[in-house]
Parts: sequence; structure tokens; C-alpha cells
Amino acid sequence: MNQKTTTWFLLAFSLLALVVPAPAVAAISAFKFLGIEGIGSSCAMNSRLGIASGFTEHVINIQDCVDYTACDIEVRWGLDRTPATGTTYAIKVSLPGGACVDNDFTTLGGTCMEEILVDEKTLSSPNYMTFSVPFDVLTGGDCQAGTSKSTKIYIIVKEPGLDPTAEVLMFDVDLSRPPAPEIQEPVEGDSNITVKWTAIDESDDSTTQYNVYWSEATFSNSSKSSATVVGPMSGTSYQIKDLENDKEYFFAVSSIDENDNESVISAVTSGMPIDVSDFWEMYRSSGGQDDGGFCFLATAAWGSYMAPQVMTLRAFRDSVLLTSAPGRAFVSFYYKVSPPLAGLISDSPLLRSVSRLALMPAVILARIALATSLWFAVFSGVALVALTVLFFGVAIRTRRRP
Amino acid sequence: MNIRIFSAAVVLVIVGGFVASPASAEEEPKKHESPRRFFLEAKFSPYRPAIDSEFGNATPFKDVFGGGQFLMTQVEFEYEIWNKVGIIGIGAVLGYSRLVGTGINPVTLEEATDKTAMNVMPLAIHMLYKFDYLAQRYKVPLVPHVKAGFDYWIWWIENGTGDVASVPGSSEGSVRKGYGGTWGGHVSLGIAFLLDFIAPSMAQTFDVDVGVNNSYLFFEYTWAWINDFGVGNSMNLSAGMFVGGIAFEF
Repeated sequence: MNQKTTTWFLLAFSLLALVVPAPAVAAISAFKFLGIEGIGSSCAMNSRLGIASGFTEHVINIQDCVDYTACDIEVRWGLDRTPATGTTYAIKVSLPGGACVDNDFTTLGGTCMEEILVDEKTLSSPNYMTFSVPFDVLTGGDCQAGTSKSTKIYIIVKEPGLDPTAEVLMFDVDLSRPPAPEIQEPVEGDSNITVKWTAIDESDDSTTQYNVYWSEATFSNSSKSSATVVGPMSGTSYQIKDLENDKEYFFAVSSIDENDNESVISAVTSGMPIDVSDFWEMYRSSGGQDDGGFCFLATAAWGSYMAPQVMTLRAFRDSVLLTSAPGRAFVSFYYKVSPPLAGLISDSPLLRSVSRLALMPAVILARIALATSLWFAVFSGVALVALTVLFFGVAIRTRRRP
Repeated sequence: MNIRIFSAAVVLVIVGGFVASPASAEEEPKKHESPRRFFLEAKFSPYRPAIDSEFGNATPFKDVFGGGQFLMTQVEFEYEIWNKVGIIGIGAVLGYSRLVGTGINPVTLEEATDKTAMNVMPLAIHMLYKFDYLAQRYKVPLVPHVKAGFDYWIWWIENGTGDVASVPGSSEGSVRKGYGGTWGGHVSLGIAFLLDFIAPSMAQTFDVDVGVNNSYLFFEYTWAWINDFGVGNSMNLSAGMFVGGIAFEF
């Protein structure tokens, strides 16, 4: 091996030593993480921070950094065993992106915070220990740093006669915003605008979501709170409904990453809903005679004006029949002929029962017509067909049996 | 798919199966057949309602939905009342077809970006006769059938936002919603190919394991007059449909 080769070898070895971390000390036996709680007013922590007992992922985003900047967090931990008498512990914290020596209580500096968080103390109540950390220590204090680093809290335990052991609580401090999506030309429809954008991450396992901002007046990233926001949502389009035709609206989109950091908004674009005839409008304007709704046959057989079935039929009369000339004519005819028939029916319990049975389909149809959900109508129709088949089937089978 | 090609393909499958495997009819006939009571059919057809026939010159349906066909999917459940010489039964049909078109700009009369859709859900009850005597007795795998019955087809129209479409009603503030139903009737003529003929052993196993006596590939033509029998104002959803499907008797 010549001198040049030896030099390169030593250089490579030195670089390798820098890159590969020194082996960590053993983990604390029977360690348990018991949770985190914010200390101070308005310091109830977001679950993103892994605040519950047993959690191992702790994430801080930009909003947390801003919201909890004046808070401390209390970290709770303990051991599921009774350590030897004289056991001590200490707590160190790294700088964001840094690391600490975890096999002694005293080595600080470098990328480890200069001051020890908890100096060596006796492990007085091993089942339940706490310590607090200023939130800014975890984040580095600059919430707009645009960085994504980890801050580590080291809990180091030293038992008499044994090597130190340590646990590391790692806080992922994500202060970087995702890129803004690229908004496309809005699609203008009838009382609606469809906002479209290009996905910033098109991979299948992308967790990126988006907020859509819209307003009747233009806005910027700093004034976006004046706009209506919809989201977060996945996908790359969103249709805004119930807009006013021939009126200009402004739109923008932002992206939200897996840690709920929101990008600045995209470019603001505008669109104007326009009148569009759907098929129903085309049918009616071309002279189509179907008025919509379902057919109805009415009479009075339940006696009480407030009977639910009668109320249904009455609602149908008011909402549907009376809105058309033929319907009004039918109602008029009904009020002329119904009194004597109603008198006849009301005098006979048998006729009343038969009439109710005969009118049930009409009531059902009226309910279908009045229902806001078409699926209810569909379900009713299917059930009606199924019951009819069942009725005939049972009747015929019964007749065939000896 | 072109209707003629579709029809030819179905006929080819039926006739081809009949010609290619005549000997298989001699293979193990069914020895212990479970009782036959019901039919379940899944069937598919192109569909195009005759809505434009309601108008003189206007063609609102064609303007919105174009000149093509739409897929109609139907499921039919039948009960065999009598099955000695052929099958007399009653059937109930539930179907669905979604027709998607493009809204029209009322000013320019050009296509807009908004979509509009019409959903049609046929409900029908009918009597039927299937002449399966030759198939049951002489292993001839072709079963002609006829069906006739009454229909009530529910329809609803969606506007560009996916909501039920509406137009202003005759009185102030009222609206006419774009949904309703049309009564009608239908007649179907068809022929079914008994698939058991191709693989009798498999058919026997199918019967023993899950109780399916016979499996059919069938083709029929349906005349559906869905126009309130010509006396109402309901939307005319009538159509003639080439229908193909698969049926299981159990």
C-alpha cells in the first residue's frame, strides 16, 4: 500500500466514522412512556404530538409551533419495575436535527443543548416521573424556518453497578410547507364552478390533501381568511355549487402535507357561472308534457283530519296537485263528489277498513312523491314488486298443497 | 357494440355450442335433480328511450344525449307456478340505466361543460312461458320463451351539480322536479341455450352443491311500451331492446 492509497483509506475511514453513528446504549429496561400534556393557557396539545400513553410518534408542525410557542410540555414516564436503590437519572435535549451523547450525564454541547434539562436526580418514584420542556426548545423557536428536523429528548438512567441505559423520545419538527398546487382554468357550469388543479404528488400512496378557497372578491395568501375555505380534500377537482350565474368568483387552492402543514395558496383565478339547460329544462322547453312527480288517487277514509295518512295526501295535494291546472281541476272535482262518498264510508267500519287498504298504495306513492330522497322512492318500488311476487308465490303454493 | 354483430355473436354461441358438442348430450344425464322453483336472470341490453317521439320537430333527447345507445342492466326473479310441459311462471324485474349527456347553453345552443344525466329504473311484473319440455325430455338445449307484463319505470334527471333537476312551476315559487314514473307494458320473445348441455357433469355438481338445476345463456327481444298506455302525459320511455343474459334455474 503506497502513501497515496493510505491517505485515501484514512480519509474514507474518517468520513465513515462521521456518517455511521456510534452504537447507542442499551434501552432502559421496562421503560414506559406515559404521555404528554401542555402546561399553560391554551396549551391543550394536538393529538399529532402523540400525547397519549404508549405513543412513539411525536410530530410538531408549523401551526403547533405557532400555537404552543409560549407553552411548556410535561413529559410523563416511568418504569414497570422497581430499580435498585441509588438509581439516578438525567434528561438531555438535542438541538433540532442534532444528537446528544447518551451514555453519561455530563457531556453536552455540539448538536446537543448546552444546558442539561434535568441534572442527575434520584429516581424517587420510578412508576411515575415527570419533567417539563419549553416548547420552543423542541422547535428551535423559528416557526418559519422551513426546515424538517428531529429534536430528541434523552432520558438516561444509571443504576448502581450497571452501565447507563437510555430512552430517546424523538419529536419530528416539520416546519416546511409543501409546494402550492398549480391551479387550472375553472370549468364554468350552471350555478356552479369546478375548480381543478395539478396534484403536487401523483404517487398512489400520496397523503397530500388540498384546501379550496373561493370568494366574490379577489384575495391573496395573506388575506385568504376572508375567503370561504373548503377542505381538506383529496383529488384534484372540486365543484362549488349554489353560485349566482353571470357573477365573477375568485378561486385558489393550497396543499396540505401529511403533517398538516399548509402551502401558500396557488395563483388566484376567476370564473363566472353561466346558464346551462339540463335535460329536464330541455324537455320542458321543447314542449314535453310530463310535469314530473308520481301519480295519485285520493279519498278520505281515515276519519281524522290529522291522521298521518291524510296529512300525507294533503301535503301532496298542496305541493303537487295544486301547482298545475289539471291538478287543480282534479282537486275541485274531488271536493264535489267526496262528501257523499265520505259519509257512506264513515258509516261503515267494513267500508272504512276496505278503503284504507285500497288507499294504502296511494299514500305510499304520495310519500314517494313528497320524499326528498329518490332512493326512498326506488326502495319503495323495489319492495312493492318484491312483495307482490311474494304474495302471488305464497298464494299459489298454498293452493297447490293438498 | 353494433346490434347486428351482438346478435350474430349470441346466435353463434348458441348454434355453435349445439353443433360442436352433440355427443355430450349422451353423457351422464342428471340422475337426482333438486326441485325447480325459481329463475334468476341477469340481462343486459342497449337502450335508447323514444322521448323525442313526443315532439314534432324538437329533439331534446338527441340534442343532450346524442344519437347513441346506453346500457340497460336488469335483474329478473321468476317463480315457476307450473313446470310440467314447459314452465308457466311470474317474474319481477328491476333494472337500471344511466344516460349521461351534455347540457346546452340556452343562448348559443352549443354544448356546455356541465353534464346532465337521466336515470331510468324499470320495475316490471310479467307472466312467462318457457318451453323447456324438449330440453328436459329429449336433451334439446334450446328453450324458447315469451314474457308479457306491466311496467312502471321510475326516472329522474340530474343537473350539472348532480342534484335532481327542476324547472319553475306554474305558481309563484313552486318548482317542477325532474323525476317521475311512467306506466307501460312489455312483451319479450327469446330463446335460451341450456349450458348444461356442454358440461353435464359440471351441471350435476352445480345442482348437488348449490341447488342450481339449469344454467342458460339467453337472448331475447323486448318491446317495451312505456308511455302510460298512450293516454297520459308521462315521459315516453318506450324502446325496443335486444337483450342478452344468463339465467339460473333453482
